[in-house]
Amino acid sequence: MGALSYMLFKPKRNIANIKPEYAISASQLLTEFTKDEPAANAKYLSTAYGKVIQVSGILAEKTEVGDTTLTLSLRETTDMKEGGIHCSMEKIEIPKGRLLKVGDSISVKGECTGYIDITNEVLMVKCLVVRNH
Amino acid sequence: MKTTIITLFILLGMNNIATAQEKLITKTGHVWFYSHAALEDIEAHTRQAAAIIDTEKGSIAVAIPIMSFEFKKTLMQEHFNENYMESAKYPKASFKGSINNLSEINTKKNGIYKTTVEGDLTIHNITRRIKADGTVEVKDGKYLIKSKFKVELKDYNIAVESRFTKNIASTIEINIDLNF
Repeated sequence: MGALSYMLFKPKRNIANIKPEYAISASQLLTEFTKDEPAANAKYLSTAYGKVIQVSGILAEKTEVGDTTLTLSLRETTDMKEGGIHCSMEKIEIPKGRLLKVGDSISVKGECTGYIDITNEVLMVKCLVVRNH
Repeated sequence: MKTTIITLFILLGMNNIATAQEKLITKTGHVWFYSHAALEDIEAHTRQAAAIIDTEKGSIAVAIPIMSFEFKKTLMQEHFNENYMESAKYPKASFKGSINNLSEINTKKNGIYKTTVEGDLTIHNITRRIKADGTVEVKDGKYLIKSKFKVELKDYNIAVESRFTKNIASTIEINIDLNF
């Protein structure tokens, strides 16, 4: 029976319908992870998923790889060359993401997946652009 | 950065990766794994792997956020994070090591070069020394580094309940594609 339950269908989480648990600026979020990573992990990751959060900042970098991957880097200013929030866009959101310009002030909603020290970035997946100021 | 590398080659008249003395960085590495078991095949993908290569030293550091792996079945993804990887506690897998013959790769000549990587692989907070075969593909000044290797779940202290042993393999195949 246990193995059977493994096969059962459970719908995918639709980020658009989930209210963010935290709304925070890109610089505040990065500071929380760089100051105390275990505490930030405990706050932003639940056991099964990264929590849905909404992050605001300046679009500092846009990277497209193939036609399935678009990432946006949110920072406090475009002068900052590294660090920040690395947002992997949801596939259906890529056309909308392409229209954004570096320097735009935006908010992005998605699941937090933790912090990567070698690039000094907090990561998010399944991202949607929720506000283009 | 590509322009810088090319400029350096022109200035120095050299054409292997190691003489460029550059750091290559990617943040959109593709990592995926397969489990082939009696009852089902499982695969999951992430495109959030980060990697830095120090071309002078031939060293490589890779970091993979575990919670960014996507499965076809939602419930599997939940079990993966909650029961097997304990992702909230150990959110990253990492590899620190070296690419063995980086200096022999001609960056001006498109082609696929065989290589080996060796180093410390950390999964689920357990670190083990591994060695894996890989390739470096040079294409018009860009690099694609690929590697494929197998890990035993028990080596990383990942226990599968007996009722799932026909669903989840004890040996998992891991694939890594890093584009620079």
